[in-house]
Amino acid sequence: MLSHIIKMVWNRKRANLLIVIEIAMIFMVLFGLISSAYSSYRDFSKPLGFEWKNTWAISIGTGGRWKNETDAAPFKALFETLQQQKGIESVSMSSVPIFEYSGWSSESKYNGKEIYYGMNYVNETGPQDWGVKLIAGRWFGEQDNGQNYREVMVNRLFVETMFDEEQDGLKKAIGFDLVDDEEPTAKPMRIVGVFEAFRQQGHFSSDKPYLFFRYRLDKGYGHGSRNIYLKFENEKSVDYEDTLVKLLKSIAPNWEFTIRTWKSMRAGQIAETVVPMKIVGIIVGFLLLMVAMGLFGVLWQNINRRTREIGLRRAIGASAVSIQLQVVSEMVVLAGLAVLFSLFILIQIPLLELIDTVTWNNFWMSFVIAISVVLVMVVLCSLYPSRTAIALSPANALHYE
Amino acid sequence: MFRNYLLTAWKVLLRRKVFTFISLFGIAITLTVLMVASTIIDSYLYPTGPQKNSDNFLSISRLTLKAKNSVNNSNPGFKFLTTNVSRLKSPELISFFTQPQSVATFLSGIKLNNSLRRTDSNYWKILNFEFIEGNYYSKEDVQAGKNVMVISQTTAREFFGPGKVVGKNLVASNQTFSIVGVVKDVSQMEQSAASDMWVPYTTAPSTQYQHEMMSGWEVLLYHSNPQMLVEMKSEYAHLLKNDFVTPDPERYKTAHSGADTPLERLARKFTGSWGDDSNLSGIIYLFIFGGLGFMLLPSVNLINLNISRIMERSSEIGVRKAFGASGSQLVVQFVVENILITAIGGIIGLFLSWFVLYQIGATDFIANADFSLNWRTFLVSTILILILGIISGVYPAYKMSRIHPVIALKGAL
Repeated sequence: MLSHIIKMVWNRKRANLLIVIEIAMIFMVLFGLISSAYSSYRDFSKPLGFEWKNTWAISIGTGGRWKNETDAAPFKALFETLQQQKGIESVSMSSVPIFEYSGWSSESKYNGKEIYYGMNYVNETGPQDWGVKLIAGRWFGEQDNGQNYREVMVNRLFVETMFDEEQDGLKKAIGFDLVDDEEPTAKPMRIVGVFEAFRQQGHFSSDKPYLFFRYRLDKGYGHGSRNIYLKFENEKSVDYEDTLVKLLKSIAPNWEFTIRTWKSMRAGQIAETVVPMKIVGIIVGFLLLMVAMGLFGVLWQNINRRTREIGLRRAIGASAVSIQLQVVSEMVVLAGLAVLFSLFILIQIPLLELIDTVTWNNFWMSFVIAISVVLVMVVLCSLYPSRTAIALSPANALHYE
Repeated sequence: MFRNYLLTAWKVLLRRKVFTFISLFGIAITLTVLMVASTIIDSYLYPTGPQKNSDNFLSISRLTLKAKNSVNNSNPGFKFLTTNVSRLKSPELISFFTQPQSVATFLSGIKLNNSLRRTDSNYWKILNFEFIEGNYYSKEDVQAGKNVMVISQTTAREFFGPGKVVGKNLVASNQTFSIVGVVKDVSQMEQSAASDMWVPYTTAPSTQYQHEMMSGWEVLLYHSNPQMLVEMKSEYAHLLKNDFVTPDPERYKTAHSGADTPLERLARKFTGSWGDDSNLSGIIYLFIFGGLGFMLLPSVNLINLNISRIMERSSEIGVRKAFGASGSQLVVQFVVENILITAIGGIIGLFLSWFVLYQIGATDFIANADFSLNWRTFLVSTILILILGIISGVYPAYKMSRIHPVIALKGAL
């Protein structure tokens, strides 16, 4: 049966080639949309590593570059004043803003092992306040003061990358000194604790090794820390923002303060990802409809042309169902050829790592989803023409002009 | 002859309405997408608001400073402007102003987010803001660091309701400003003009900005004669190359930037280019290949439909060939027919684009944007219609012209 259909497809190869090209094109467009949507969805569904509810982010504008000599002190004053306010559950900070697409990363070689990771300066209790989950070791503490190491905390992925064997990795990591191969004499970084995850750039960022340095209010840090976070027990009304800015301005009159909630920043990031996808989705939807109707038209026309052939088949005993099946499966075979052709082109993307978002992780899944959409389309648009194929009685069909 | 072609085409269109609908649907959708995209780009390149005289000025919005081991990409800073840009001789006017910053204001329990720019007074001379009330602040106001403000119509209404607002006070980021002028709202598409509030740059709470080579500023270079833009552009390039003044050669050794026309600025944004070259050719290729690429699938779709439709006209083709019509005549006839149906689809597409653009305007997807169809849109649409009509018509027409008259007359292909 299949070989018979393939033979018929082959006999009309010139006309069918264009149909195959058309299906292959819509398939590739679909694949592009599905794989990017799917990879965003996968990122979104991974745990964020911290809680975003009821937290306000204050970002500070100092009117220029951060000068630690003059800026660290007012920052400390702000931080401590906020800690004394009633109704604020916790005050925390980071040097790189959270829920924003800016990052600070490094590619270094420690103890002979190369690792690419993101990092951030956070205050002693910051990670705890954000609900970061500790899985080994301890948080930062006073015992780290004045030691001959720089205390750091890393995420699970960092440990997994650094120490290949997963089981012992966690145990091995605690107390481990990371020595930079390029500066072996510098103070080593000692891992004091390991946390589950912390995706600083939000839901749509990829999960990568991450490291916390400890920010000390009395010492400051050269590149500045312009982000303070306030956590409240319940949702706080915006009225409070006005009071808050006045309070902050009374301590640092020359600084500018922008206050946003993590909730709104998160919603903004989601919208930023979803809205373009929706627009592209609508356009692709219309293209799909266009292709479906086009195929429908072509098929309908072809069926009319083959009325006599179909009449002959029916005259020698083919059932209506088998005729319909023939029409639909010819189309399915064409779609199959198109998918094979697309596979040949698309597989280059993960093979040669052409596009970041298309990896083996989502390639096959997106491929299968795209195939099902195309199959449904092809079957739907060949149903009606296959009905017209059996509308005429064999006697009429045989001398149809 | 053409009249005959068109008449035949019209009859064919009316004969199989389902097919006509399918063709028109594809054409209309394709052209709508392209027309909407081109209208949005058009409104950026040919603004109708304060930047409508964009032929008269260039903007500097991106700067790259390089040293031995470092590359810094950012907006220019005030120090860079005073030590370098201000030495340019060819512009008649130079304006320095900041990128819009977000300011939050609280009005009886409601938080209002507005954007605020700090500017000099030349800003108002270069850009054509339409004042509804009052006027802009003068050079003296800027020099004296007076707390005065120009606000947009909508912002004025949000804060004060209807009525006169000049002379009233407004508190923004803990500073009290006296309002001196109200301007019509500015579309977000006009990148140098768009904002809700404008104040003299000298009112900034800290003077730290005066020492920065890189931080949130922007420049307009103006000349009343559009021909002078080329000279301003090359003078700026020359200045950076041979005469760059730096306060700290260790950190910033060389400067790379360009004075951009609107298209070049768009090119920088789209292609993410910094430094001397705005990558103008990059964006032109992007538009051309993007547009053609998008038309590829609809074209193949139309080609398939057209090929299968030739069938029903085989006897007509046979008769014409038998009476001596040449292949090329038939090709012309079929392409003309195809352009006619594409044009009809294009007209439907224009209505659809108008509707989509109206919806984009109504939802405030791009703040204050007002996209209108103009003669350039029609020109672009005509070109698109011709391209789509020709690429989807030529191959089927060629196939049709090759049919042998005897076979065609029998009606069995």
